[in-house]
Order: sequence, then C-alpha cells, then structure tokens
Amino acid sequence: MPAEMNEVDFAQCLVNMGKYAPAELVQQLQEVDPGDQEQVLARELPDEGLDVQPVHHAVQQLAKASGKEYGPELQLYGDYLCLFMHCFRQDMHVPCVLGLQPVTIANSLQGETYTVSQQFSGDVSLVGSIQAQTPVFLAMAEAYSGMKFSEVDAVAIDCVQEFMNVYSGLFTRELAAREQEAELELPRCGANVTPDGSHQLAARVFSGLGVFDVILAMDEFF
Amino acid sequence: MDRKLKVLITDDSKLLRMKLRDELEQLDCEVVEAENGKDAIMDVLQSQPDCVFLDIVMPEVGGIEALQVIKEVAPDLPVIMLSSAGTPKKLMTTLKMGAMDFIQKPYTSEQIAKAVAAVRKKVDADASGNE
Repeated sequence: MPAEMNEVDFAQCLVNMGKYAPAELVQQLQEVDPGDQEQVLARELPDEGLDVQPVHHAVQQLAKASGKEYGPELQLYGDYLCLFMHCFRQDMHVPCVLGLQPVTIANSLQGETYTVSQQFSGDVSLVGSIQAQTPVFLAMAEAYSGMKFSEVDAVAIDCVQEFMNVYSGLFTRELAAREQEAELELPRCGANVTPDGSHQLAARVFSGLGVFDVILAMDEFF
Repeated sequence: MDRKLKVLITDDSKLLRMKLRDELEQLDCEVVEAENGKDAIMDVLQSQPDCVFLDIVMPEVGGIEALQVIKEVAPDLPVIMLSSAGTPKKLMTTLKMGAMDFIQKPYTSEQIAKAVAAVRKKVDADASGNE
C-alpha cells in the first residue's frame, strides 16, 4: 500500500523484531519529542533488510497465532490497519503500535467498553471497528476534538465516529486507486458489544492514549 | 459584497459542524446548520443561503440525493461537497451534477478559505450582472 511504502512504520518494525514489547516502546516514545521520534526509532533499526510492510507482517502473525483460517481478506485487513495506524498517530498526536498476541476471551477488554464501526460495501466487504474501555474511548474523543469529556455522550461518540469516518474515506480512495469502488455506510456505536463477525480478526493497539482493539470482519457484527 | 455570506453546513457530525462553523465565522460568514440532506433541502428553501457545504454519507437523505434536489430547486446555488468519501467516481458524479467543488476530509483552512472566496466572487458577479 502507498501509505506503508512511503512511510515505513519504524515502531512496528522494532516490535516485530522483538526488540521491544509494544507497551514499553509506546512509553519510551512518549518521552521523546514527536518531531524526533522517527529519528530515535531509525537509530535502533539495522542498516540492511528493513521490513517495508511491518503492519502487514504483524497482521499475518496475528492471524497465524489466532489459529483461524483467513483468505484474501487478510491483505485487506493489513491495508486497513496500515492506514489506521498512520491516521491514529497523525490525528491523535500519540505513538501507537500493534501487539503481536491475538486478542482472546481471556485477554479481552474488561469493564464498560464502547465500539464504533463502519461498513464498506460495493467492491469490498469489510467492517472496521474500534473497541475501547470508557477512559480510552474518552481520551480518543478528546485527542481528536480538543474538547473535554467527563462521560461518553453523543458528542464524544460523534468525535470517535468522525475520526473513523475520515480515515475510512481515505481508505476508500486507496481502494479506488486499485479500481475497487467502495461505498461507506454510516458509522455505528454500541456499548459492551461482543463482536462476532465473519472472518473476524482483532488486533490490540498499544497507544499513548491507552490500549484498545481494532476489530475487522467481512460483515457487520453487532 | 456588503452583507455577510450566508453558508449552510450540512453534516451529521456535530464536531465537523462546530469546527467548520468556527472557520466560516472567521471568514466573516453567517452560518446555518443541517444534520442531514432532508433538512438541508428545507433550509435551502427557507434560509436561502449563498452556498452549501454538503457531506455525502448522512442519515435520512444522503448528500448525493440532496445535491440532486438542491440543483432542481436552486440551480445556481453553489454547492461544495465536503466529504471523506472522495473517490474519483464520487468527484466526477457530483461535479457532473453541478457541485462547484469537492473538498476531501480532513480539510484544511486554506481549502475552506479558497472555496469561500470563489463563492464570494460568484455572488458578486451574479449581483453585478443583475444590476
């Protein structure tokens, strides 16, 4: 994908190489000036053999570890997550990396959670979603909007949905460049949703706002 | 022009409407808001704005359907599509339907200022043509 080719995710490279645990790397990056983060990460990488698709490789590792069977949708999931990670970093102004351990019932997010999702129809069949515990969901809404929230109200939900809507739109443009025309459906939101979609893949994201999951499936799951 | 430009923002996102309202008010515009295409059509008829910023993916009536109706009731009204769903096909479709411009989200202040300047120019030209 162009996003990954033009901007290799150095943080993900280091996690994939096993040099850092995701949470440890995010914590270290938060202590570095955002403008210097890429340089700090690059110093840690080998001169030769740079992985130019680390997000895709993390997704493949997650899929393998989950023990489920995936088909061509896995490439689409990788493409989506690649753009998602880029947009999250850019719009939320914090570092983030994907974990490499599959999300299971045992390590699922506990307590009150909110899930926003958006479906793509047309030439692709895909649902992208973000599931986060309340404090992390509120942190996302605040980081994206610059507003303050004390509870998950309609405006806080709108903020996270609008973030999703914008990067989903960018994804439709990337798909269009590959002659795949996708229609965006309206974003949805649910509380305490247990996602159960077709060919579902959940990726845990470690970020400067906290830990949350990105859940991908081929059809709507709540 | 002597009076403020009246702009109708149509988007289901309250955050978008708030941020765009701030941008437009700084550009000395008067702002009215609609949450979906259905309300936008009503506002075009009732408020008679000088231009419309129109999202595409909205509940009730979407932006493309709303654009079609707006162009039937107010063919000369400048409509600027402001949407995340900016594929080449959508761009071509909406421009052919009569949209003045298409701004892909996330927008920049410069894009909004440029669009507003183009609308002002058109409104002024229309006004001087009518004198």
